[in-house]
Amino acid sequence: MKTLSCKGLTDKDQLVLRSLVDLMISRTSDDWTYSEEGESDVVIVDTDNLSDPRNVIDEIEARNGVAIEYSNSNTSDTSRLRIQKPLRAANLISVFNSVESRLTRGEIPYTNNTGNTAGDTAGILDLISAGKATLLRVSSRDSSCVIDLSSCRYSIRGSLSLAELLVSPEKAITTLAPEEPQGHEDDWQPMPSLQWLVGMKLSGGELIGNLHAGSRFKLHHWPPADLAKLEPQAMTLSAILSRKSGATIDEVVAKSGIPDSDIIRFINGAYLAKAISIRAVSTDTEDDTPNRPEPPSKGLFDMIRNRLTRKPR
Amino acid sequence: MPEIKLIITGPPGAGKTTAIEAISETPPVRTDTRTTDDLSSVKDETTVAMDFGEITLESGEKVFLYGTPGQRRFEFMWKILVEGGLGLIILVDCSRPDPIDDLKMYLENFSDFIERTGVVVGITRTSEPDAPELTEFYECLESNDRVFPILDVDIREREDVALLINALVSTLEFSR
Amino acid sequence: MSQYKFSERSEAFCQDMFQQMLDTSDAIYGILISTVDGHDVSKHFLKEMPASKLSAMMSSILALGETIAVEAQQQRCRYVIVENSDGYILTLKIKDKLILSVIATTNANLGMLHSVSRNAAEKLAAHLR
Repeated sequence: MKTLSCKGLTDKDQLVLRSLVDLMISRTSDDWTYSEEGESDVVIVDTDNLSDPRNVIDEIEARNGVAIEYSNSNTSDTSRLRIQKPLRAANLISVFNSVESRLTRGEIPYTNNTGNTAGDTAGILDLISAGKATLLRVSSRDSSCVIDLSSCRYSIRGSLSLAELLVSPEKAITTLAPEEPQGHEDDWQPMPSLQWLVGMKLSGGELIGNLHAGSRFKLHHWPPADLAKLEPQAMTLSAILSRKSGATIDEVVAKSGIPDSDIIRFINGAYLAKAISIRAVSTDTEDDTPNRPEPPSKGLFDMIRNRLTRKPR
Repeated sequence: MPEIKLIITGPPGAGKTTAIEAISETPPVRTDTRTTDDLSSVKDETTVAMDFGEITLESGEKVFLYGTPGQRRFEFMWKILVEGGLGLIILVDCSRPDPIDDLKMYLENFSDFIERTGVVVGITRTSEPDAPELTEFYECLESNDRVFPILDVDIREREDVALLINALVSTLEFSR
Repeated sequence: MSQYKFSERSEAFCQDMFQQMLDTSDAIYGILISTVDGHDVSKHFLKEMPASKLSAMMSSILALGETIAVEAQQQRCRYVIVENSDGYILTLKIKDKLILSVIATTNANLGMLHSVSRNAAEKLAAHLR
């Protein structure tokens, strides 16, 4: 049983909608009922009649509901399901079947709101790492981004950068079905480190579901150069985690002084990018290599790093 | 304290001289001569002894950057130049016929030095239509359990050269 | 791989020239023409030596000599001389693309070696014009 309600529809449209829902029952896979109030599964939003339809839609998606835009226009800059006016049974059936297929595949809106616990964002990483979410829409304020993880590309609109959007406390994240139109297809930007960045930025302080904090992690690939430019700690963390035997989170903290929350973010990113694995035991013999010259002091390495971050003289 | 000397190597035309030019705070010392072989279709001049540039640290100490000649016939210079070096940057050019093979050759020829120190690989011109994926370059390292950084870079950009040096420094500090 | 090569006539000219140099000084036991980027082109060795390796090394050392001259604010490097316990190696440029290297024992008079090498380089340059 699925419930349906509406926001901003004229009395006439509401009447038509109710009668169409009754007619639709035999032509959709699931049973649909019209609900006057409360948190229905699906809400049809008349974007022409509301003064701030964006807020209304955000509220619906914030509670994991599906918003369907209903308007005169036949184009949209979002990836939401939409129906063009006037209401017709065929259009409604088609959209409802899409909703059912999304709900069946678990491709329901996934939202993280301000004040939600860290675990909520980790949940989206679990979906991504399980291969259940490859296409995401992340929105916050005036910005919206479609992220195509399987092709390492994204398309963004608004004032925020991708990194800013991913850490915005007001962001709403929706997983999308791959076959759905995205609305931004014309301006895809390639980003080799996209999976890594999404893993890092959407981490809520905990490792992705099937990883354990006590494990020994071994990096197989360093992050692409674009990530290293965005995340200065990536070089240090990559160097430690790519040692022959890898390292535990505690060892990384001890060696680098980097907080464990940042290390977890990095491991989550590496895990989504398929660049890290678990090592059973330490078999580190690197320090036994003969004829290795005494390395310069840590101070010297820091000085070189500092010098590199300054502009040329 | 060991000399602070970093070596940049790689095939002819990969951008060794350009990299030193991009990061050195003094005009680089170059030993370019006219090319007289096939390479002349790609570039008019080639390094036959070394390139040299430097960066001054806050303490007044200097980091010396040495670029090697690329061609294998100058192998004797490779051995001279790595003497006392802290680490190696290998540049690999994806516009060449077999960049994977190029990487293998330099890894093999500098293997003793790499074993004692560290290496970072900069992959250039990756937009070439037949450029291998970064994962294919990583496969070259599989025989060695140490994982070295392989980064896609535009060697004309100071920021990208700095990134390679930063990765090398991190490897030297933490991967040993 | 396409490399700089002499015509048969030029090669014959070089071999004549090498013979004249050897006739002038019996201390000379190796003469090598190579390209500035380190490929061997023509040689006359009285004992076995690795011509291709020496060509690359001569290219490096002459380029270093020229670069050192610039750094020391001196003009135009004419020769690079390697003086060893049992011999000399003298290297100089022939026009833009070629290098002449002369290898001799310590029996050679260094001034005479200069003169023989410079004369040969000038004649070769004129012939190859």
